[in-house]
Amino acid sequence: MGRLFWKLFLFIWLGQVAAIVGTGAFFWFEHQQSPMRADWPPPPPPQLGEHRPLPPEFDRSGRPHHPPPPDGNRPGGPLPIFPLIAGLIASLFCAAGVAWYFAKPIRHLRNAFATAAEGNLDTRVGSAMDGRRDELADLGEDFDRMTERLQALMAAQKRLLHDVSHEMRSPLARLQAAIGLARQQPGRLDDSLARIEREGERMNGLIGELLTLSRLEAGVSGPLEKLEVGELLAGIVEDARFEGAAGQVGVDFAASPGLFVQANPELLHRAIENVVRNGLRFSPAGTSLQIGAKLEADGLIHLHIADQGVGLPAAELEAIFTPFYRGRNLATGDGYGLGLAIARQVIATVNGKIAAKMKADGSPGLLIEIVLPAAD
Amino acid sequence: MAAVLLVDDDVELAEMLGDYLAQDGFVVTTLHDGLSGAEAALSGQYAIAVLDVMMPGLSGVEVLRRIRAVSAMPVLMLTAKGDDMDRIVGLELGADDYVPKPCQPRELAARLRAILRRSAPSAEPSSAPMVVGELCIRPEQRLAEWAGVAVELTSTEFNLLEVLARNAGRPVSKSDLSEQALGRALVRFDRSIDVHLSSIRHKLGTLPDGRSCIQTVYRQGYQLIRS
Repeated sequence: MGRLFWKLFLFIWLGQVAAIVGTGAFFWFEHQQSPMRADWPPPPPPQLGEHRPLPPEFDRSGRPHHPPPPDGNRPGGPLPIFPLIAGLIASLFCAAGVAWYFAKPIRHLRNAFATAAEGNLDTRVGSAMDGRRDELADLGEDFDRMTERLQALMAAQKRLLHDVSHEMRSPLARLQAAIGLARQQPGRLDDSLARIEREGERMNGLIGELLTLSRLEAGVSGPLEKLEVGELLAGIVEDARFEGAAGQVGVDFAASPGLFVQANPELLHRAIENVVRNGLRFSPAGTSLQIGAKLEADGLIHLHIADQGVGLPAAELEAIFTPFYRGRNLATGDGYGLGLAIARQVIATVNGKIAAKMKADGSPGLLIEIVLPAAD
Repeated sequence: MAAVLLVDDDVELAEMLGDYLAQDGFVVTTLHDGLSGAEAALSGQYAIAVLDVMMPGLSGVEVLRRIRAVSAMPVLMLTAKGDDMDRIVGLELGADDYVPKPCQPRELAARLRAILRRSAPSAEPSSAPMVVGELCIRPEQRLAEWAGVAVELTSTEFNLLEVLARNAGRPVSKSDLSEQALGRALVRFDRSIDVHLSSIRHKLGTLPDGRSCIQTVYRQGYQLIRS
């Protein structure tokens, strides 16, 4: 039993004792004042819930046939010692019960917090709160929610760290292989050096993207400005047309004029560019990437970026926004695997949403929908 | 020269390693996914397979499992550095050795040569059959028999058992085992020898009193009991 139990117990018990003594003293005093009423039937027991065991004994004690007090100063009869003791004992149990009722769930919670603090986030208090429906049970539920969320976050962080080390390892492995080749075949030194340079740049790029992602996750979103969506998209589309031309991928673009959002221009540009690039990468030659923006009836700006590639199985639609996710049957490509994760974080900083969907008409390809709140 | 099958999903890396190994005198074929890798490995054209553990689709471990189901061909695994699980699982499934990635191509070539040298039938004159209790080892045929029944061993397992048999009745230290059977010095915290030996124990029968014929000698190594 913890200190809290003893405190609660003591306070409740002292309260009860005070009530018993007070009530007892009142009746005793009243009895003293009116000895004539001694033959009357006992008064109804006082309606105090906590003193259930008290009244009968107390009343019995007030009867007049008790021997007169030996002490002349106390003519009203003896002090009701026995009922007082009985009352005290009863209140002892009562106080212990109440104190235990409150202290127990708190002790459970405390233990749960202690284990969680030691790093064991598997702790749940829900089962210990069985049947309770009060603020303490709510607290337990909140605790469970908290540990669950922490666990998920930590698992995500761990996975990210694991993925990052793996991603860093691939360019490193190539770097080492290139160095080995340079040593083995000095005649092809230039070739090897170019490779080494490329891998170094790749690692630098990867680290840059990671830093961006971690800054975004920490909530650093840069200064916000009012931007015209059509203008922003037009710039991205121009680049995309240039890039797509090499792979014979066209870009269709249509945006309603006068759409404004409040966002950091650099980050939003990058987010949409990442999505567009991703679309280009998975567009087969001879197809086109459709980009559109309009204000829908819900008062939000909807951007659509749809490719005509192979699309994705429904189970992977959500997963593509996690860092380093790569479709199972796709070549690794030249991306870092962070583009869509960064896009999602950027869109989240402006209270927007990004989601991958299948096309409504069932045609092949992937549709990425970005919903942004319109600025006045 | 030895035909090497290199299976790694990293196209550029496989190309570079292939280039290096080719220059080093191996005949290299590179493949980039597990499925075709497993098929090619079982075609019987290759002296050794190098498998990357981390591959999308069919992982290197799964490819190894498929190879080991029918063949005892030498297999070298490329594992992620620091990932002990992959390493132990690979060895348990019968990989002959592993090289942590990123690796120096020079080291990869050296390991390949070591495995190939060991798995080649030995031409030494002293390769008469060795008999230790129920165990009979024929080095020239690279065959091991337990109570007259042939035991399927990978080449690394065979080498380890051969070293133990040559020293039957005496404990052999892990570093000696590593140098003589794996062809490389023992690295700290390297559990390869233990994993290989545990696999050999499972494949061999037990002594009449139920003990394994290979005993661990505390702080000294392993010993093949001469009964």
